[in-house]
Amino acid sequence: MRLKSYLIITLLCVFTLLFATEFIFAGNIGRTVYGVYTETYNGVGLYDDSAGNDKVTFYSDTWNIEANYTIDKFEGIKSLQVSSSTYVCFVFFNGAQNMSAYEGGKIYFSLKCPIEISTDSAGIKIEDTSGAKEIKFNSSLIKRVNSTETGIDNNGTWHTYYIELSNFVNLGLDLNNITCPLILTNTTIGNDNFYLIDNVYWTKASSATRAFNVTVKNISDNEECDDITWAQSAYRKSWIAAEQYIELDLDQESTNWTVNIYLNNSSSTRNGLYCVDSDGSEIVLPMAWRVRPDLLSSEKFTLLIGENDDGGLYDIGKNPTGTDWYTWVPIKEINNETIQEYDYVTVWNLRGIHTVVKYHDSYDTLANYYERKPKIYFAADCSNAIGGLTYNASVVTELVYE
Amino acid sequence: MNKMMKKFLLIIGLIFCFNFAYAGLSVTPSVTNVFGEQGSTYKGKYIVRNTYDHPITIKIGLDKGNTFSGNPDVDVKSWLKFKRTKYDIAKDGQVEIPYEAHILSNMKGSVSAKVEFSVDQSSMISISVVVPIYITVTGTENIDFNIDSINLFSSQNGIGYKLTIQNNGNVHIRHTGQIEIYTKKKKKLVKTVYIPETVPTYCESKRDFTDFMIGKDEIKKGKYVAVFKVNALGKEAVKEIKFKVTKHGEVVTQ
Repeated sequence: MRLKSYLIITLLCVFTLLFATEFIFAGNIGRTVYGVYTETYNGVGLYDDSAGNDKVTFYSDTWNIEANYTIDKFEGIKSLQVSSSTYVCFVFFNGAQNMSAYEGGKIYFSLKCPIEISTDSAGIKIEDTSGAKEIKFNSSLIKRVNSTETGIDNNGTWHTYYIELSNFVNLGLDLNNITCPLILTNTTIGNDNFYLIDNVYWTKASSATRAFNVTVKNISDNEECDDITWAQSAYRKSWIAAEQYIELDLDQESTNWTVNIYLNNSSSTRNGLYCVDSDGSEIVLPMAWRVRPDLLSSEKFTLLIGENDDGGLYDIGKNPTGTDWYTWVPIKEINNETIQEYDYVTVWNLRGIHTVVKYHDSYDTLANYYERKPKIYFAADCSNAIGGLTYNASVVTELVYE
Repeated sequence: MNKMMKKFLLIIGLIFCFNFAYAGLSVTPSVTNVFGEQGSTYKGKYIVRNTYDHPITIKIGLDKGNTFSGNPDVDVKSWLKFKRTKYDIAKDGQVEIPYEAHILSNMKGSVSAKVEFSVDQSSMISISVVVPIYITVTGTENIDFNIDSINLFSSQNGIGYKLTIQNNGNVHIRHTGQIEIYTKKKKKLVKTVYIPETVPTYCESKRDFTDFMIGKDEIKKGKYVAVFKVNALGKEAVKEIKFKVTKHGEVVTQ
């Protein structure tokens, strides 16, 4: 029986290498948090196929496995539902990957496991080029988060577990040549039942940097740059987008964070670019921001900004339901305590990126979902700009934990 | 192009002068929970790492966090002490920043502070990372929360919920829980849905939590009961809501 299982796995490996051609997962190796199946962490996530549908590249002997939308999940909007199977593999790399950066780290996963699964026979494996190394469900090496209990609990409720990767290394796992970052084996259940798994990720050792990074880039070529500028056509025009954006990247495990953006110009009236004229009077060019996920190569969007009678700012030609679908947000001066109608500071949190305001105040989960680092764009109302003056602004990008 | 126009464009081009293309800050730990008795002192440290592409100086700022109203209105700096408020960090370097949290003899319930690490430089865009310290004064906790309200709504994929937690206690809670969806009169359990832990509900306040509950394909036309069970700090709050699903999959609460 065991020999048969290995034979099936071997055949499936061959099948995978022959027919699976697109893997984005390996590209995220090296991040502090490497997501295998998760929607929580930026820069990791699910496979995006050519039809635009999201799928995870998993392999099972039953093929009876599906992404389970909206129903019961540990995080995000879906978990993975698996029926009775000899094994389930998460992501076969297209060639062995060097994952030695995770030495001293852990693998995390959340599991809702029914009592039918035997914790004696079911196991968790990680595979390298010489084969899979297994830890059984009932092993004390499997730790439960926020608990002193060990081993998988098959009581039918969600629990989050982790295993020190050193335990697999002690079994002979070669982190330099990983072919599959997680395999579940011998999860035998009745015909009408299933188990759920969610939020699978590897992390580096606790001493590794958990970072919040911001990068300035040109819109034209996505190259890193130092300055934010406006095109020549900005002069005496109303709302014009800047030629650069800033890219956000949060690479750490946490579920209680928010990224805010605001001005700190040390004055309640400076809600934008400001300068002091020669006669001492202050000129302010109002500013706005909008945030987008990183775009797929097939996606296009413009930065043409329209202004409605009530001050709402929208994408010209992209307003899907009318002029109240406002995608640009006036930037808040933190010293101004007055709450304006569309006054939002939150750019990004666990719900996604803040995409639309006013009646449709909503979040887009895409930034957390794919390898898509959110980009913040800026615009200024240059209609009152006067030449010969120096304009300033102090923009704060703030990561807040709760 | 006239002369004035050229001059304006030059200035516009210099509106933002960043001193970086790539910038980043790492603060560990991101959340600190301290449990201690009145009169005790907690010694902790932060590790702040510079991932900018050049050396930086960071400033430390303190602000009051959510605190039980029964506590004296004291400045955060009177109980949370940092020896220094500025640190230089080399490129790719890190510093350890020690601090002491003094739990005063008249503190009760929970006391918290926001610690802000911001980059002190002349660039127009700056980064700051704000991390909380929550002090729970052991022996004085009052854990008292309930489910204030439940609203169900129809969404594209199914039925969602907005759960409002009312925390009447003197410490913050981070709840988890589950929703049990039954047929009419609780005759049959249709689905159990996990409620994950996210952000806290602070003491003496309410907070809304919105998420999906059940998919359109999972629930047929009919009458149901959803029982919400929320757990935190060893206590549980339960509330149920009756609802009807129409033949179009719309939810109507009763």
